[in-house]
Amino acid sequence: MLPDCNTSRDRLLADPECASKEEHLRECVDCQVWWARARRVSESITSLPRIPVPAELASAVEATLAEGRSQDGPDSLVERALRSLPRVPAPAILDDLVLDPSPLYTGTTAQLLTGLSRVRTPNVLERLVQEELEAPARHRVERFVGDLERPTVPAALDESPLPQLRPNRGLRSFLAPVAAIAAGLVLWGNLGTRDHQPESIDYGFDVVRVTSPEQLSPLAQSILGGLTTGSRLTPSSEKGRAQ
Amino acid sequence: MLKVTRSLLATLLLGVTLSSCGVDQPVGLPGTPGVPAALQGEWNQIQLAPWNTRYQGERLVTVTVELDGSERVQTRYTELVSSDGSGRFNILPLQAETPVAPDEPTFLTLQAQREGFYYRYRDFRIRDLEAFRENYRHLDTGTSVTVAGRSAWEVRFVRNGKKGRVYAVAFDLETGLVLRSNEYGPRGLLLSGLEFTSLDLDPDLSGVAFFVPGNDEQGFDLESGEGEGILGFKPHLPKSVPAGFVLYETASVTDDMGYRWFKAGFTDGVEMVFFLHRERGAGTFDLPMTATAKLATPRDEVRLFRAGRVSAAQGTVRGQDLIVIGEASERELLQMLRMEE
Repeated sequence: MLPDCNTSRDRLLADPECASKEEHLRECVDCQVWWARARRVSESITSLPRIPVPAELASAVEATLAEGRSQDGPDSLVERALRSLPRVPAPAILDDLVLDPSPLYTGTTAQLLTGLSRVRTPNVLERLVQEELEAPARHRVERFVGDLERPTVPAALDESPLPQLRPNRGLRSFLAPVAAIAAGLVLWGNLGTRDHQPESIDYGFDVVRVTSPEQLSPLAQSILGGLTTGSRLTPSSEKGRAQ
Repeated sequence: MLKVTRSLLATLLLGVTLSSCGVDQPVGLPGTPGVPAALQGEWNQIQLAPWNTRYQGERLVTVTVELDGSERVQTRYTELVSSDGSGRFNILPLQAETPVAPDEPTFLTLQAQREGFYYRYRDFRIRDLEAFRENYRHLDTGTSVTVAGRSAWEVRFVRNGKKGRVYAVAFDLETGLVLRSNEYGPRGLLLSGLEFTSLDLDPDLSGVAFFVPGNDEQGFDLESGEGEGILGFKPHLPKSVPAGFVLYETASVTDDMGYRWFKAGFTDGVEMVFFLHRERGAGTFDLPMTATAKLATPRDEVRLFRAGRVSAAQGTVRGQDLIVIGEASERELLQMLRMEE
């Protein structure tokens, strides 16, 4: 790709309306193809239906915050967290600008901004957010289930088991051989398909079967897409089969 | 351009006759005792035809995914393929012939983005002649067919050890190009197919935008040691590879996040298995943790995903980010990820 191509493509991305005036685009076949593809991608993305935020989300957030405030008062979790953040002192130059805006404002602002250090989101935060977005229901359950009060078994239950749950000797004598045969069949079936269960071998790492290519990295997804012509169909027998 | 019209036909016929005297014998046309060594050149032409033949043609692509061994989903679409005979190529998807997901424009855009992968790895190729001879055998002596109005010779191959998998490949008698390749599974199910519906050997390629790799791929010879300089770490090959596969190529590739990976491609003569690794460092792509990982086991974790006949495994093992993808048994792929103690 020539420098002209880069410059032209930057201009087109910044202002798609300028395509008709872009001289380079009229002459460069590579850029014409690139531009056609870029527009197709853009149209595909913009044509995707917008998924509205569930209506109950806003009210749920408000209710949670209000509840936190009423329970904890000024010492709520959110406020404690905000207070715990380290203070970042404003650069002195900012004070000067506020007090005495000068014609050098633009340049000084640029200098100020470039002088600021970039703060990256911690990796662990990105991972936790992604994990939660993947399975919000499961995480809600995991978070709250531990807080539930554990009910105790009534003492009376230990003392007098229900008569109808007592084992029936006749039924047991019938079910025992049937269960043994069933277990044998399951064992035989598992041995027969042993090749499809790599988890039984110790490779020196744990093997976790996933049911969606999105659970692999973009690079792996890209190669997989090439080998399957983009088909992301998963045999339904595999769904939910995780170690 | 090397003309192989008569000689290729002669090669195929003579080779098949001398090497097997019948059907269902190992593929060993040239190089087989009794077959003149000069015939090796014809196979070289078949291997090189996609790269040194100037052509343009329309092809029909068919892919079938079988679900649960009974439900089948078949995708068909057309594409325009161009080659300038000097190694440059382009594949332009044209039209879907079956319903595709999520919609036709998106599907075609995705296919266009994979043109490099498709031309190099999806299209039927005899990538390594020795491995091909070891792993495949032919079922018949071939038949004369016409594809896209051109005379071709179609031979059927099977992969040793893969029951019921049959390849029917029609070679153009003039150029050696593969004009049609169909891969059939058990019960004659068409698993994948690629067929020229038109072919022009004197095309006007002035409007073609040839493929430019977007992943900064740089091939290198592993034994020369230059890979370490390109990658910034020492590349290594897996301790074991699927049965019948040999090393086909080594290269450096850059992912969307700008990280360099070592890529090793292995082939059984036709099919490919890819192995990639990089040293885990700051900013490495973190896979979302699974429930198992959250149990805080100190062991490394590898994810395994299966899409029809292809499996992909990815994880971090002993400080190395590893990926292995291909059409091999899951056990063989996972063995490739084993690292030394």
